[in-house]
Amino acid sequence: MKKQVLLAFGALALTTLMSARGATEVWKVVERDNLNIAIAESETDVENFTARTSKIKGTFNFDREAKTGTGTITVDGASLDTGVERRNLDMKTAAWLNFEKEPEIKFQATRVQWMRNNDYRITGTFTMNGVTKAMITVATLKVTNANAATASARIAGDSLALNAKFPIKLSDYKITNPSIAAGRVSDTLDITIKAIATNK
Amino acid sequence: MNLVRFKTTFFALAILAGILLVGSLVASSLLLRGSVYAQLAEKLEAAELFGENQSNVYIGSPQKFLALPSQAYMQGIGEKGAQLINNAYLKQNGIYPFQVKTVEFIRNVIAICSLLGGILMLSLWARANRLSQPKSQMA
Repeated sequence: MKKQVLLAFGALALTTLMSARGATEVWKVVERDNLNIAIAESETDVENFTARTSKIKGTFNFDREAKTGTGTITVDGASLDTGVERRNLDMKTAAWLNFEKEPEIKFQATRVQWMRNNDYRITGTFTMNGVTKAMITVATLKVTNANAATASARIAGDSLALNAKFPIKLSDYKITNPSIAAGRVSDTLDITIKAIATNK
Repeated sequence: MNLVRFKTTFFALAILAGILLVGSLVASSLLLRGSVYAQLAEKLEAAELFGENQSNVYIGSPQKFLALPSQAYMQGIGEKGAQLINNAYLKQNGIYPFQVKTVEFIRNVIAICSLLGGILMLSLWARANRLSQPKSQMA
């Protein structure tokens, strides 16, 4: 009898564990313009300019109940548009952000910790110009069950919206230019990523 | 070098530098008239899914921009009380939103260069003028 009770408890614990693990869902970024946006802002002596793109891909493994997960977001750096064609071309060269050779900007979250409301502490890595550095940032992650808003946005299933804003130091990613050294262009690039993923 | 030969040229260049200096100050003050503290924004589809209570996404931080056509402004207030500029409207109409910072930078470069150039030309003109005087007058 004692053995049967133990077995029953064991089975229950296993089922609970499996169901808990099963709560992690795979969320894929909906690759559509005007739904996602990545913005990089640079400060220079002459002006503060922004570069933007909607070319964002990514997948999250996120457990909405446990509020934990992992994930990867990739931005196509070569598609960043500053509004000035000449500057777009310059930006892609090895003298600047080197997107001609290394177009991928990757943000990989290895640990997601809930803080409050929709705020999460994201621990992971950031890759640019082929250089990967550890990073910790605060981002918002918001799950919306399928409703009129998701339907009007033509999103199948529930949505997971990521909103992250963080600065990076260009010199950390081996992006050096005499203008940065001279202080005419800031070594800091402010990055904003807004992306919507779905579990369907 | 025969400075006396270029006396008139030095004087003309000094005058030109003065005109440039004054012109850059006047032009910049005219351009900066009506400048606004604003922030570029765009409407993002499904903005409510991000949990924000407004449907715009800000494209960069607020800046001081030169005055834009009234149709370029959107309803609402951006960060730090900035007015909102419709980035989509600017794109559609091929308008580049120049910043006050840009005008001030160009003005300062022109003003400093013309001031230094003007001082140099004036001093060369003065020297040429001295050399052109008869020695008896100079004594």
